[in-house]
Amino acid sequence: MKKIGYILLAAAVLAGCEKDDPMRYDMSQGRVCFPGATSNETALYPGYSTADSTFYASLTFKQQPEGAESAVIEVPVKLIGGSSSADREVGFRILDEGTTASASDYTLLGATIPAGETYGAIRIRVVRTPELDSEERALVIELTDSPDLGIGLAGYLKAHVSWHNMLPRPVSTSQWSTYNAFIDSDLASASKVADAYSQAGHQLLVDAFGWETIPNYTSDYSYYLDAWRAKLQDWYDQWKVDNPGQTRVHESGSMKGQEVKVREK
Amino acid sequence: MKRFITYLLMVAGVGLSAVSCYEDKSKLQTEDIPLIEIEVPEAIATSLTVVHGSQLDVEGLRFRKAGVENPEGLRFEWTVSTTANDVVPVVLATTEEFHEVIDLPISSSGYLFVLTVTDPEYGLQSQYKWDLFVTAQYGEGILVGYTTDGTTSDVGLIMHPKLTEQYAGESAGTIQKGLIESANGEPFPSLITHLLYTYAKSNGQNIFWAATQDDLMRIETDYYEILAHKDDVFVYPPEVFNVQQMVSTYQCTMILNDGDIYEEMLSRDRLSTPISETVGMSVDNCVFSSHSASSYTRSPSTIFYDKVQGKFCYGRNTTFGVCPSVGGTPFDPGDAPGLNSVAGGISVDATTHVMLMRDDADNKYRIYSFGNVSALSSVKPPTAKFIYDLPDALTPYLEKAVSIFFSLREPVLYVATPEAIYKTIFETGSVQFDEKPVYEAPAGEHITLARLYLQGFFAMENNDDNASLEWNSRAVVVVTSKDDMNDRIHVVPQINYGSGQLDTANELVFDGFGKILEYTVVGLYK
Repeated sequence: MKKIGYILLAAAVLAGCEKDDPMRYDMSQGRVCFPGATSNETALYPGYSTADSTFYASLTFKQQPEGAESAVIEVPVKLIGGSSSADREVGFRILDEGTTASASDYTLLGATIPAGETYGAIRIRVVRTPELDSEERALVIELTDSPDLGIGLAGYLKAHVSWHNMLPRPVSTSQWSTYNAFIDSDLASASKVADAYSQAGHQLLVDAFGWETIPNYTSDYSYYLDAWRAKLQDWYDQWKVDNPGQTRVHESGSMKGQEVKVREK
Repeated sequence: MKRFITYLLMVAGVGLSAVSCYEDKSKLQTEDIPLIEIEVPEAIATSLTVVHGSQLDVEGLRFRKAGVENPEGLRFEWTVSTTANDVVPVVLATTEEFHEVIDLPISSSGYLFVLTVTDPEYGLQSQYKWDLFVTAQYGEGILVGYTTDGTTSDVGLIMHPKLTEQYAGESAGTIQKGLIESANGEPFPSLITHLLYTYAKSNGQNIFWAATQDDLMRIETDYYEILAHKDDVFVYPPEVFNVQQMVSTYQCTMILNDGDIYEEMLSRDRLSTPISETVGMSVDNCVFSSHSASSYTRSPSTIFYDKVQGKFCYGRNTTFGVCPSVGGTPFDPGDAPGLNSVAGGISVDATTHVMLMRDDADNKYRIYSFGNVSALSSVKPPTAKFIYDLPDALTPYLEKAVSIFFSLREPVLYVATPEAIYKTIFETGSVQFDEKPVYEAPAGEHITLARLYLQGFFAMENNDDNASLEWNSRAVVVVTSKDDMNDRIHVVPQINYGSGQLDTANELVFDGFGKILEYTVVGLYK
């Protein structure tokens, strides 16, 4: 009986000395989310908003080849875990809330993380329609588990995908400052709010300065605002001479219905 | 059995004790490995300074190993890195002594310069570290704009003990020519019309403005690389490009283009639109009186005459105004029709604005002086101080003058004709023109340009603390020519201060430029 006790004691000691391997993340168990968690990533794949934990992707046919009737939006998705030797499917679903596009407006082309890659995309073909000249269409997407990949970090699972045939609306307060520094309205110069925004005002800036998107309001604008405004005003004056009888009118915003004017003060 | 187990445990205990007490000799030193000692001359013990683009010599080092001096077989590696944390330092040499040209970027904060000596016998390494400072090849001095072919132009820098703070070159001075072509691959494609040293306050970079017949450029003075051309300098380039004047004023560089006044704030890099308050003003004959002192007691910093309005105008920083009409003063700056601007500057006591004017009514020349006004937060119009009638005997010299300028610290007017420079001392109730010249062009040469010499940093910001050279405001720079594409530049010191006399015996003369078009004095912003 005592022998059994010694044997048990020895067994317990040996068991207690067993090497305990640390837990490791299973790299083969991939997960996906939308990018935006790090600054490097945000620079590479801009669009994530911390305000509502949503990744925003947008396309305007204004920036597509002239005459394009459809275009493909690629919404980036990020793999958490190791890449694999085969393509892996990404699961997602369309949420009703926030979605304004109808089934005929788009086609889902698939969503994969390609073999060997750590970023993939949800690809959506969108169709150009006349309505897009004045309003956008949107899909709200949520990532779901797929047979290949689970969902990743909460807070990085939702995307807002929109398309239209208008100028790309500014997204940052600094861009709004640029808009409001040049386009006259009831707002203060360089105001950071979007209340007075119109496509017509934006179009004037695009036509005069050649900006694809409105730049941030850096010191290059604030220091030399008089010169920039003079440049804009002279271009606008010449445009009026070249296009007699035509006017540019705000179609939306607080200046709706009024002629677009260059801010003087 | 019980006893057996006890013995077993005892044997196991002894065994374990023996094992635990075992001396592991494998990690003990078995023989001395001698270090390589590096002995460095005291003069270069901590830091090294080298001019960018010149050779750095590090020699006189001694190495000892086990008491043996300079043993054979050591390996040497000289590396440089921006910081001690640089992952991969740059290897500059593998020789025992260092004799290499340093083309690292100029850095006042210094580099980490390291000598690593390796003893191949043991692979043991010893290191010695220095702070390595790379200074500019080009210091302060007179920057001469010139042409050798009449079509293109370039700049050359004169450095000399009298003109360059902390000058370390040959005592006769050095001239570095072709700086623009050297740094930018080609000279200016057209002729220089204006040069003006200033600095970029935002980053402390010494720069100068260069206007040519068709461009306006900002150029840094470390390497003489062009930073910006006309289309970058102007946010909205003017329809007519015609730079007529460039002057330093309070915190600004003022540029007169096609009659419009532009100002570049020193903390910015570009030109916006003409100063709005000057729209409607005209600068008569492109003449300004201006200073760049920062004291608020010296307002305004700029005065010019608007012939169209018949009034003097004034400004400080970006604020300008027209002088109001006032009575009871020697003259009325706000009601002075029929004048013509001839020259302007700061004179008398280094603070008084003076404007040399010709009156249409009697064709006489007079100096109008203005007093300073204290204006803490805004600019106020200057006060009319005195009028000095210049003698008729001076008129012929004024009418053929190539340059007219004032002495800074005493009431002396210099008039440079092609043949000579004449002085006039103007004091209240006494104006004395001396027909005996204070300087005569060398035989066969004629004067093309003359100005008071002001050290660069002082000229850009008129505070005495910014002047370190004895000749600052105490010498005259004269350009002479034989029309043979070998103009000369003379720097002639004043003598008997207050007399206006020049010490021609001690003038400095530099040549070899070709035809001299313009000059400025570049300085070192501190």
